[in-house]
This record gives sequence, structure tokens and C-alpha cells, in this order.
Amino acid sequence: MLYTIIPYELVFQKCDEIKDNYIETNIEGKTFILEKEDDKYKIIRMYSTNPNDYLKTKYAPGTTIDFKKNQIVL
Amino acid sequence: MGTLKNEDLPVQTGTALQQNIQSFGQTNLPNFESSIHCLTIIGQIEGHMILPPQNKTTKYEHIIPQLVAIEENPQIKGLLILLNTVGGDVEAGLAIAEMISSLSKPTVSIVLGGGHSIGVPLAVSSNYSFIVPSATMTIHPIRMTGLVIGVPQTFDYFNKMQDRIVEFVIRNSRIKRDAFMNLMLKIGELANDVGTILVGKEAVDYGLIDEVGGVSEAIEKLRQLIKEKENR
Repeated sequence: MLYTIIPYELVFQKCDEIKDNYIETNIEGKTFILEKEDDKYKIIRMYSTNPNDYLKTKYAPGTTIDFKKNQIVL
Repeated sequence: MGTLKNEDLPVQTGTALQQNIQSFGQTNLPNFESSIHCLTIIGQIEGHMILPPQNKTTKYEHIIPQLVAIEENPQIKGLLILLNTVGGDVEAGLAIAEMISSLSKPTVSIVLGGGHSIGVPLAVSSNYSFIVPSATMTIHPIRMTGLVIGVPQTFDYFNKMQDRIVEFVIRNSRIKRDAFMNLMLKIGELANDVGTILVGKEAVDYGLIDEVGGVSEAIEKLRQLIKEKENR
């Protein structure tokens, strides 16, 4: 049950467009939402309560990670 | 973290600006560990249902483990909660609110932009709450659309759900039940709906929020609460 000011029709407008190239993963102890682009991954969102994590550019949204180059250790 | 070496950084394929920053080298961040952590609750509160992608959401499966980690981590002394939410799942919202209100560490919340619907119990769940002058809070009854089978039963069920929210809000703020119910059932404030919009100071006047203020006031209050807790 939702308790929101947004009408139900707007909340459920695009039910069939749920993206399947989004991956939720844990990197360096923080949860990330990554978007797969070929063999690279773009950071969409980071979940952390540590305000300092948001100052680090390597975690910034839009940054691409190439796991083959091991820049970020899983 | 020591010095951030260039090879530690991921390959930037972003804008020219990003590349510029990279090639000029960037200033190292001071090695400073904050004893205050912050929890941002934004968009819709996503609970039992995954919402379609046009909704920006905060998921309770992310928030609840973070709250446990905050409670457990001895380096974290206090929690700042930043709210800008349009509401969302009743049970997920109440679950997060109960988690925050039962944390042993000092908590301070700030309502920025909006703290509507289920954002109201979230805003009052902290030890001390702030609202910025421009933020709004909408208080309205729970609604539903679609086919209803068994009208009296549905009505009872909705009343019970609403009661859980109202009860939480009066338990965690200075507002009286009558005053809160009056705001919730007010006619003429919202277009095509029942309820009230409280802007900044109004929320404080009704006793829902403790004080009008922003980040500096909130951090100051949090430091004061941390100090009080340590001296106890």
C-alpha cells in the first residue's frame, strides 16, 4: 500500500520498462547500482552513509569501471 | 586512504571537463573520517513492490542494513537524516522510521524540499528535527484507486493503516492527535483532495517539527546531542 502525494497512475505509468541492464553490486564495502555498457560498467548510484565517499571522484555517478583493468577491487 | 594515485582512478570516458580535471591532476582530499554519517531518503520509499524506472526511489533493503551498521560501528557517533521524499510504501516507511527512532545514537533530521505523506513519520522519527524554510510537508489521508470489494472491510483496513501512521507521529513529535487529525482531514487546502500542506515554519508551529534550520544548525544540534550522550 502506498501513502504518497503522487497519483497511482503516475507511479505505475511505465510498468513494462524496467531496465534489465542495471546491476546492483557491492564494491569496496559500498552498494552500487551499475549500468552495463558492453564490457564496461557505469556507476549510476552509490549507497553509502559516509559523506566522505561522495567526495571521491572514483565513486561519482557517470564514472565507468573496467573490471578487466582491476581499478576497483571487488 | 593514502594519496589517490592516478592509476587508481577508473578510466574517464566522460566529458571534456572530466578529462580536463583528470589531466591536470586533482587535489587530494584530506584524510578525514567523519564521525557523523548521513542518510539520504529521496523520492519514493520503495517497499514490497519494485516501482517502474521513472520513479526515483529509496529502497528499504538498502536503508535498514545501513542503520544496523551505523548502530554497530563504534566510530559513528551520530546520524544526520536528509529527507526529500514524496511518500511511498506505508510498511517500508514505518519500518525505516521505527529503526531510526530506536537507534541508540543521536539522530537529527532535516526536511529539504518536501517531506510528504510517509515522509512525515520519517521526519519525526529522529531525536530532533529541522525543516528548511522553503520545505513543505503534505498531510493527507491514505487513498486508493480501483475496484473495492467489501467496502466496510476495506474502510476498516484503511483506518487501521492510517492509525499506525498517526500513532507513530504523535508518539515521536509534540503534535496532539486532534490537531494532526484536523490537518489530515482538512478540506479546501489541496486541489481535489483532503489534507494540508505545511510550509517550513508552519510545521514547527504545529509541533510536528522541532525547529526551522538547515545543515549548520542540524550538525550543531547533532554535536550537542553527541556531547550530552558522552557526558551521561
